[in-house]
Amino acid sequence: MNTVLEAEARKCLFNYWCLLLLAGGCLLLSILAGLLSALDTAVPELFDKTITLRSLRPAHTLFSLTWILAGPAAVVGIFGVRLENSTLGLSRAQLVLVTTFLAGAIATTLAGQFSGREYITWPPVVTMVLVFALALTPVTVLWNWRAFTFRSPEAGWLLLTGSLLVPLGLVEEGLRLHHVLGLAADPGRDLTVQWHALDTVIAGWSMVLYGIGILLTGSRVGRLRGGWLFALAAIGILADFGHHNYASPQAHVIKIVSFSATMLAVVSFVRHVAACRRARPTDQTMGMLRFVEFWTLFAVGTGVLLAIPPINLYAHGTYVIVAHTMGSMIGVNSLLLLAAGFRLSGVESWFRSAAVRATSYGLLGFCLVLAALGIARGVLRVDHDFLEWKVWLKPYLVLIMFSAIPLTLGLTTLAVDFVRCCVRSLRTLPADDFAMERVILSAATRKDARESPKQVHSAG
Amino acid sequence: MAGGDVWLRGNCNSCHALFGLGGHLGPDLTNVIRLRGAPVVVATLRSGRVGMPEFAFSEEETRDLIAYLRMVDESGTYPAKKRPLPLFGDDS
Repeated sequence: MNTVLEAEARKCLFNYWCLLLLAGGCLLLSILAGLLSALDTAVPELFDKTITLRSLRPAHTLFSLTWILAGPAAVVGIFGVRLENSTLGLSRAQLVLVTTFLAGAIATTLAGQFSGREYITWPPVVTMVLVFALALTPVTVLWNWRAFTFRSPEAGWLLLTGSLLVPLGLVEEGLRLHHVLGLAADPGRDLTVQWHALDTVIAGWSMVLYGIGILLTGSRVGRLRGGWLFALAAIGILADFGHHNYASPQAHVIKIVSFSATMLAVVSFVRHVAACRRARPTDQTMGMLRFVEFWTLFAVGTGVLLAIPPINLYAHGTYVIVAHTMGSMIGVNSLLLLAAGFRLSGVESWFRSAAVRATSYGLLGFCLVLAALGIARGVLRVDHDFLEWKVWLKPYLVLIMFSAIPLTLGLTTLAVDFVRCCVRSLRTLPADDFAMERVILSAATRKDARESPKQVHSAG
Repeated sequence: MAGGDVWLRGNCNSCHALFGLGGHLGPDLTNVIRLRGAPVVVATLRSGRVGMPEFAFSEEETRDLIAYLRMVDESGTYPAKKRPLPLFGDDS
C-alpha cells in the first residue's frame, strides 16, 4: 500500500473529523442559546438587559445553521475519503473557511450586525466565506462521483443536487438583502424571493441529508432507480416555496402551481409509510433511522396539510409552523446527522437509545403543544385583536417551555455523546466502513462484466 | 426603501412578522399603521412595551421605518378577515 497516499488520507480524515467536531460544538451552543431564550421569554426578570431574545435568537440561529450546514459537509467528506483518491486540499480549505465564517459571524453578531435577520443572512463578506466553504461539497461529491453512485445512484444525485442548491440559495438571499435585485419597494416580491431563497437552502440541505441517510443504510435496502422520482423532486423543489406565500400579495398562478407541486409530496409520503413498515432496526443507527422515518412522515404530512390553502390561511404565522419546522430540523435533519456521526465513529453508548427515545417522544409532546396553541391562535386572530387573544392565550404559553424539557434533556445528551465520539475519532480516524464492501462489489462487477458475454455466447 | 434596512438592522422579525412570515412572539405588523396609527407605533418604538425593548432609533430611522410599514400596509391585508376564506388567499 502506498504510504504517502495513506498519510494524505489520514490527514484528510483528521480535517473532516475536526469539522464534524466543530459542528457538534455548535449544536451544543445552539441548545444553550435556545434554553436561555426560553427562560428569558418565560421569566423576563431573570436576566438583565444584556441578554435578551433580540441577541439570543441570532445566536441560536447561527449555531443551529452551522451545525446543519457544516455537519453534512464533513460527513460527505468522510464518506468520500479513499486511499487512491484523497481530497486533502478540499478538506483543509473547507475546515479553514467554515472556521473563518463562524468566527466572523460571531464577531459581527457581537458587534450588533445580527445574523437572525431571517435565518440565513449575515454581512456580505461573512456570507461569501460560507458560500465558498459550502461550494466545496459538490466538488467533493464530483471528485468521488463514481464511488458514491456505485453505492447508490439516488444518493449520489441527492448529494450533488442538494450541495449545489445550498450555496445558490445563500447567494440569492444575499442579492435580495443588499438590494441588488431592486425589490425593496415591492414587499410582495421581496417576501417571495426571500422565502424562495430560504426554501432553496432548506431543500438543498434536506437532499444532502437524505443522501447521507441512504448511504447509512448501505446495502440493507434495495436501490431506488426510478428517473421519474428525480423529475418529481425537481418540480417540487422549484415550486414548493409558494406555500409560504399564500398570504402575501402575489399572482394567483404562482399560488396554484405551488399548490399542485406541493401536493406531489403525497407520493413521497406514501412511499415513506411503506418503508417505515418494512424497517426492522438491527443496531443503534438503524434504530435512529426508524425515528427519522417517523419524523419524515410528520414533516411531510404536516407540510402537505399546511400547503392546503384554507388550512394554511389559518395556520400560517402561528406555532403550527414552528411545530412543522422543529419536527423537520430536529426529528429529521439533526437525528440523521447524529446517526451519521455515530455510525462513522463506530463508538456505541449504553445510554444512546434512551436518549434517542427521550428526544423523539419529547419532540412529539413539544410539537403537539405547539400545534394546539397555534390552531387556537389561528382561529382567534380572525375575529379578535392581538391585544385580546394574546391575553387569553398567555397563561397557556408556559406549556411550551415545560413540554420542551424532555426534548432538551434528550438532545443535549445526544449532542454530548456526539462530541465525545468526534473527539475519540480524532485519535483513531475511523473511515467509512463500507469502503471494503465497495472494493469487493467493484471486483465482483468487473468479474460479471468479463463473464457475461461468454454466458450469452454459450446460451446462443 | 431605507425603512426595510431599519427593520432588518433592528432585528424586528425576531418577534414580529409581515404577512405571517417572521417571529411569533409579538403581533404581525402587516397592517399595524391602519389598525393602530403611526403615532402609536412611534410612541411604542420610543418607550417600549412589556416584552419589547425601547429602540434608540434616530428621527430619520423612525420616519423611514414608518414609511416602510405604511408601504407594507398598503400592499395587502393579513390575516384575511373574510369567511369563508378565499381558496388561495386574499389579495385585496
